[in-house]
Amino acid sequence: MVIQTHNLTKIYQFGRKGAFKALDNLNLSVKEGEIFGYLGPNGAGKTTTIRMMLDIIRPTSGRIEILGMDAQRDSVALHHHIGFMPGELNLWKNEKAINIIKYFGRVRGNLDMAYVKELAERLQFDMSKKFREYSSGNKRKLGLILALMHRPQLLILDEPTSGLDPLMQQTFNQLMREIREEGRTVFLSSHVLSEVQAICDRVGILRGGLLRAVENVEDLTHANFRWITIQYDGHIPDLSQVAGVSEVTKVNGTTVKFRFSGDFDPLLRTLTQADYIRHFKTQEPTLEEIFLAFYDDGQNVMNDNTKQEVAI
Amino acid sequence: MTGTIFVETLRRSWRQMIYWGLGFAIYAIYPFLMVPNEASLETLKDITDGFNPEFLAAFGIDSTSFSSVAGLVGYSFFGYLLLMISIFSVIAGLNISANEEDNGIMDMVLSLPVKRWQVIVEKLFAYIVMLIGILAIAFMGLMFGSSLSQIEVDITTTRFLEGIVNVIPGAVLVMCFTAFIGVLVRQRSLATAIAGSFVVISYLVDGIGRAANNDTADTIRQISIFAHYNGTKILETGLTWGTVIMLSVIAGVLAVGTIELFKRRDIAV
Repeated sequence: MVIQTHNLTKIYQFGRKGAFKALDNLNLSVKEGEIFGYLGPNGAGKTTTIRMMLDIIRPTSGRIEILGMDAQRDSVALHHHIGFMPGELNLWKNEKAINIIKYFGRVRGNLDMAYVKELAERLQFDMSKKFREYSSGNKRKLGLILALMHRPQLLILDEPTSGLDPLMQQTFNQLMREIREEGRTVFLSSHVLSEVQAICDRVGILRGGLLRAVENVEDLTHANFRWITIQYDGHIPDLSQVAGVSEVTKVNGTTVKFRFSGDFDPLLRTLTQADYIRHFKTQEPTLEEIFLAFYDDGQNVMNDNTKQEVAI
Repeated sequence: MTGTIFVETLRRSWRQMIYWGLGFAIYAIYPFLMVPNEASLETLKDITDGFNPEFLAAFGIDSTSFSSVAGLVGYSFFGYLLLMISIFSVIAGLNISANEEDNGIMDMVLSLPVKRWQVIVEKLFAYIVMLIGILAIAFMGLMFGSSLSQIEVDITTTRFLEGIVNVIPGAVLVMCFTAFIGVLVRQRSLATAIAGSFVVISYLVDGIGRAANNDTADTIRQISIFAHYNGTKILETGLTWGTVIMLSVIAGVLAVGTIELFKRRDIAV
């Protein structure tokens, strides 16, 4: 295993304001050579987990092993093999990107400028500007270069694609696949299911500080559904009998909204009987909805009572 | 890699060191130009003789302050040098950890293969080197100013150098205090307020203590770093090594406290 957490718990103390349990008995394993998606809504505990992996904050109890080393005790040795990109990249605003890259390279002791240039070209990133001059998308690109430039064995990326345009997201996905092909491991957090589906092998779902599930992405995809909204003129056939359709709601006299899963063919054949369809919109479910759909409202949830090691 | 943070801190800040140094060099030249001749010095002395001695003591002025060039430079340059260089010390102290933590940069720094103590120690040394650089430029200003003086300057180069060295322990102490507060409170704005208040209150306690001119006030005054600085008389008395060592030890204790606290605690979000 590349990453193993053992009963990892983090409680933030706020003095007289009390305490907040951000992470509760997390037992998680990430295998070598996989892209692992760490999925959860904002505030679920994803960044807390990542910051503990990097020894930026310390666990209240439990421990983390990364590449066979203790994340806290062996942090310096470990950080030679880890590339990290935070959710929001903040660096020295008056420094040029090239100087920041060189600085990171010098601290790590292995600056390969040819590889840095190759990464910058692939990401279409101009390294000559000062950090404050970059857009949020370009800051993400710099973050990626800083994380990848030393060819780490493990990449830890917090919400890596937020701010990247679709074209760059494709480049990012390609880079991640290449890293996987080289046998290296990627641990990325996200709150966007589609982003995780595109590249991840397995997904861990976190909610309220508890690891609710670890699944193969295909399994999660099969549990997928979407919301469909149709605006029509005249007659609309009865959709409640169509396979995969549920929770049909008439929003007003001309709009119907329903939940849909499975193949589109029966639905489309039924809809051809409608008089006139003015507007057809599909919407991805929220992570919460997917979670509830997949786990029968949480009945199969892994919680701290089971204390089950989540390793597949 | 060891030393990289030290070098990088210097690389980023050497221009500031030059600007600060030039500012203090100009300030060092000023007392020599302020009094163009012996008669002007006499006039200054006559004016101050008319004031209440306790009132003058609050500002570090006594009967000898304007009776010689050494007294004049001691009062108008060295007397305020620690207070002024403390502004740099507070900024430097904040740069050691509080600024990067408050800006969210520390997460990236600590994701690199560096030890936490290494971040504090290398930066602290870099800013001490910068402080010495600033004072070295100020020293050159003093030497240049003395060459411009119309009055005979009866101060040796060694004494000027002692005056400059005398500032270092106090300035480093303020720097370490600010760094410690920065690590303790984790917020730049609060750390700035506390460190700034520490300097100002310390200066006022010294001034009021001197003006009060009694044993109790003098005892209370000893808690101020300015009471141990002896800037106005440094050109006459020279360095007091006991004071230098005492201030250096306190600075060292604060530095160790900063490192230990930073090693043990969570980095703020």
